[in-house]
Amino acid sequence: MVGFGSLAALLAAIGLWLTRRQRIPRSRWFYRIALWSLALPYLAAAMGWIFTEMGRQPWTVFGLLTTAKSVSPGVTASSVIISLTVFTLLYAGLAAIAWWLTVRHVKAGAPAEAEQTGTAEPQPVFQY
Amino acid sequence: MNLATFWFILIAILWSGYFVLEGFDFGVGILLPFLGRDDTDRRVMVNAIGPVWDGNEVWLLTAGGAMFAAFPLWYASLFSGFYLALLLILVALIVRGVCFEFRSKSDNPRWRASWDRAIFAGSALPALLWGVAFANIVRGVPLNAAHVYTGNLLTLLNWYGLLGGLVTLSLFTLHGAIFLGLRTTGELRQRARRAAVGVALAAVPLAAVFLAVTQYSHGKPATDVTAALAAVALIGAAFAAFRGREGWAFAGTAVTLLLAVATLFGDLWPNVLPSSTSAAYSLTVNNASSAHYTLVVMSWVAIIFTPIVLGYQGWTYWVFRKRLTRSDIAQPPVTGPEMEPVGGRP
Repeated sequence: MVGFGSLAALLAAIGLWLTRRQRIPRSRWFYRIALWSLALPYLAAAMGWIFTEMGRQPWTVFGLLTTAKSVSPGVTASSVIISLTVFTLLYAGLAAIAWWLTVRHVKAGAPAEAEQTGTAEPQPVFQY
Repeated sequence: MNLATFWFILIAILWSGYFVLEGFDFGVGILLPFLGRDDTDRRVMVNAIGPVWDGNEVWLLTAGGAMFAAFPLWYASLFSGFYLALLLILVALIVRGVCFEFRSKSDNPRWRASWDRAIFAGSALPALLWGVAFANIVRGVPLNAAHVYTGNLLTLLNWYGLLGGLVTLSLFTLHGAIFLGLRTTGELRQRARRAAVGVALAAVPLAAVFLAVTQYSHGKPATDVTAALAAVALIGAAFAAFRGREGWAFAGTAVTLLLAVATLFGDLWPNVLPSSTSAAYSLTVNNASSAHYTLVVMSWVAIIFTPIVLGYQGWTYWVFRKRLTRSDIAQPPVTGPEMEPVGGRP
């Protein structure tokens, strides 16, 4: 988590350094790395959760409450299996849809530069 | 008044705020397939609640959070006991939230129709289940000596719980129809007004029967007054909707929901979750509350942050106060805007 987070920050710092005196990076390697670094924040977030959740075992609240003692007495194992299955399927479905939309968006390419209309009042855009 | 009582009242206020606010956006979602004749209509409807629906859900989070922190035993028994019912509500709320974002990302009519059906289901299901849940809380659920719920999902689907569900479903639909009449113009506004009158014909008798049954078996003199006032406000709202007085009608349904929640919480007091197994096993304001120090800290946090939240929510409503017309959204929506990152660390 810390490594991935620091790497992202380092890349940003290098990018900033390369833009000194309005020189944008000339080589393609920086753009390639920047593109692949898109995964870093997601990996950092996931790793962070796995680290905290696994690292504190066998405690729920370190030194005060064990995981074994914090299990809800009224919730059956079958209920937990149902909710875990439902959430897994739901999030897998949403991930697939989000991926499909992202690919579609990327394939459509960047929009043309908007023309500068200096005097026009900004109009509210309805998002949905 | 001790701090536990103060937090019981505050939680009642949070739930009534949630029902008054999210009630109308559930209602608009339920009416989407019936009042939206074409895609432009349906986009007017979605955009009418677009800027506010997620802010309205903040009231649910704070109500649940306040129950968790102020009455941990109440929260534990309720959320463990109603596990599968709350799972259904949660799935509906997740799907519904995604629908609003995804439906405008493609022009394909089948794509949009699918999301519209999901918006209907994701709005109708919680609108029904919240009523089922609150009717059962007032009625009492099987709790053993350790305050653990011993029923199952079907225990909650008794006739009184289902009646409560139909009451919230019809009240939220009415509230949504009136809200839509208040926020739109032209034919859609007229259709919303006719829908409000039609739904009121179901909502008024259902709510009257539910309140009468509730007061007969759980009532107190004070809540008899709030229940009667809720009924008067509802009849007034239906009449105002019939006369086309949208502002008064909306105020009427808002007051109805507020007083209905006040009645239910008043009937519940001093219990928070009565046990139908034995009165001795009931969770009460006193035996379910947190330690005094926790409540003191929570009170200071609430005193500081509640005005800020109320301020920015009110401001959102003020910014989007104008009626929406079909010409407002004549242009296609912004397709494929930047996606928000998911799952950051808190």
